[in-house]
Amino acid sequence: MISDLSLLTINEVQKQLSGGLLTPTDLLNFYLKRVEKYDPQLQAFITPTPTLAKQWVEKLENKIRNKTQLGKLAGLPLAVKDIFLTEGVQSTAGSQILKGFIPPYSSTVYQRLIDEDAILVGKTNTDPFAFGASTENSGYFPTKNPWDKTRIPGGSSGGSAAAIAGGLAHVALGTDTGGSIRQPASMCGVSGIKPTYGRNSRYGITAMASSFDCPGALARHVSDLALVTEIMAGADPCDATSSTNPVPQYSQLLNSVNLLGLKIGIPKEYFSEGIDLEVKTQVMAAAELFQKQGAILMDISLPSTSLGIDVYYTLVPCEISANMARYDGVRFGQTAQNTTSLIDTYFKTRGQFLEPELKRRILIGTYALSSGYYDAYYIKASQIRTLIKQEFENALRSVDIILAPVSPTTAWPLGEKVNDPLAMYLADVNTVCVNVAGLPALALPCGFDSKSLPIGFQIIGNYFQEANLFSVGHQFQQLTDYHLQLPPL
Amino acid sequence: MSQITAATIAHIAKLARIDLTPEETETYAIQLATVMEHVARINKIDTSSIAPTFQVTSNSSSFQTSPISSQTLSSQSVLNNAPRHHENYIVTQPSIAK
Repeated sequence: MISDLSLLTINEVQKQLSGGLLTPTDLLNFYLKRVEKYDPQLQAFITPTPTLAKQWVEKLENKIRNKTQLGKLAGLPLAVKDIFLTEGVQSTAGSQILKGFIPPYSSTVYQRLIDEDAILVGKTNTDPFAFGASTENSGYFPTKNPWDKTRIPGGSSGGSAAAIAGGLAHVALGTDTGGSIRQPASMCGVSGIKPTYGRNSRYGITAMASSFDCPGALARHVSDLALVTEIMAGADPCDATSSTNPVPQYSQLLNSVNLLGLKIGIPKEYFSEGIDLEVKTQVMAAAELFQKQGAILMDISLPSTSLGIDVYYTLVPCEISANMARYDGVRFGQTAQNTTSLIDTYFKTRGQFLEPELKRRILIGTYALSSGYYDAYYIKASQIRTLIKQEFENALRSVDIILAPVSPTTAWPLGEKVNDPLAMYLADVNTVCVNVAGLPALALPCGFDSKSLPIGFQIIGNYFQEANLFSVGHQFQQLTDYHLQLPPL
Repeated sequence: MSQITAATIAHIAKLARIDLTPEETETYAIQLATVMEHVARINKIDTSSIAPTFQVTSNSSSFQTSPISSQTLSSQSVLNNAPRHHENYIVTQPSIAK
């Protein structure tokens, strides 16, 4: 019975809490025991917060005793990627340069969730500042995939995905700049939403590439993602790029899309060169399941897909090189000792505390923006960004959603790509174009390969049409049970 | 495009204010050359009639119309994270050589 708690939807948990069948303390203890037992193997958390969680649950129990109205996420054990600032709780961004940093304020989207009585159970591991696709670049330790602990969990939100798959938290926060929610969700067999750019505020989250970064959530159930997103989303005066478009009540729209007659685009470029046959077979089986429900599968082409990696790995390092300038050892974070001048402090602090992948991307960006190369790289890539965006916009005039694999392969062995940055970058081929265009996409599990490793697919929608993605994804999960499979821990 | 050498890396590391060891400089020279050769494919595309995209969901910049006064942090809470501070000031090494 107790192992079933992590399989329940938030709604089911809330019903048990309000019916007196479960207390917030029981719920928290269930997760904390699992963290204690399994996290030493998985290493999903940089900073677990059991003491804080118990204090918050005690306050919640007081609210219940006093019959005070509870929030929509009362007692919900929440894991938060370490690049989100959490007031009073160490936020390292997965990098040694922020070791010991205790933020004086919280990120907007996290604050909105705890305002609804969610309980922070810990800060999860990530590639430093979210630079990576495997969580192996973390300045602390690599996280292990719960389905096979010799393999990567994906990344950069690998700690969050492993926490959900391992049943160490009910919902987790992640960010998706080039696939960092969808790819680890897919590799760990859980669901993850990358909303439209600007749907969720970026305030209080360490910046990677400001015109790409998208905070979002991971969970088992798409219905939970819908509920959490409707709480997280919406305009924030602290983020000028956050959208003022009204936020629909996603959790009330889970059956709003009629699968009968739904036009689903199958982009041939996502199923061609380099895709693992087992991945292709399972993703096409998901498409055919929709077809059986009356959806219409339509072949489409997004010809500039292969250029997505080149555009992404030009523009993102450019933005990184600017955003990372603030880590100078002066105002916060680690600082080098025995320096002789201010500029010497900058050089030595950054040389000593930035992880190799951070240096690599700062150098790429600095090179691409340096005198004589700006037009050839930054402007050229920004023009092809327009092309990629237009191809999606054209495709979404003839189809309702686009369906594709999240990753061309399942999780690879730890260490396999760490010394080959280009190979690591190319693994993002199926996710980056969505970020280049700023569209929303939902990743969800659709089967396993012959090694019992999870396979995921993504559905991509038009701008601000998250409601359609949640509805289609939810209906898929009503027809399948891939999201309810548990790894052999 | 010019060749990326150890000297190129040393130059851009100086621009980016990062101390690199000679080994790091050599490694990044090889890795950046590989990555930049790949991304240079974008130069084969004719984009003469295409406008660049800098923001994806809006064509205009939004401006703050009123101050966000409630968000102001106290000096003490900010100074808590400074490696060195004295009263209400962050202490640094001298910026001008003696």
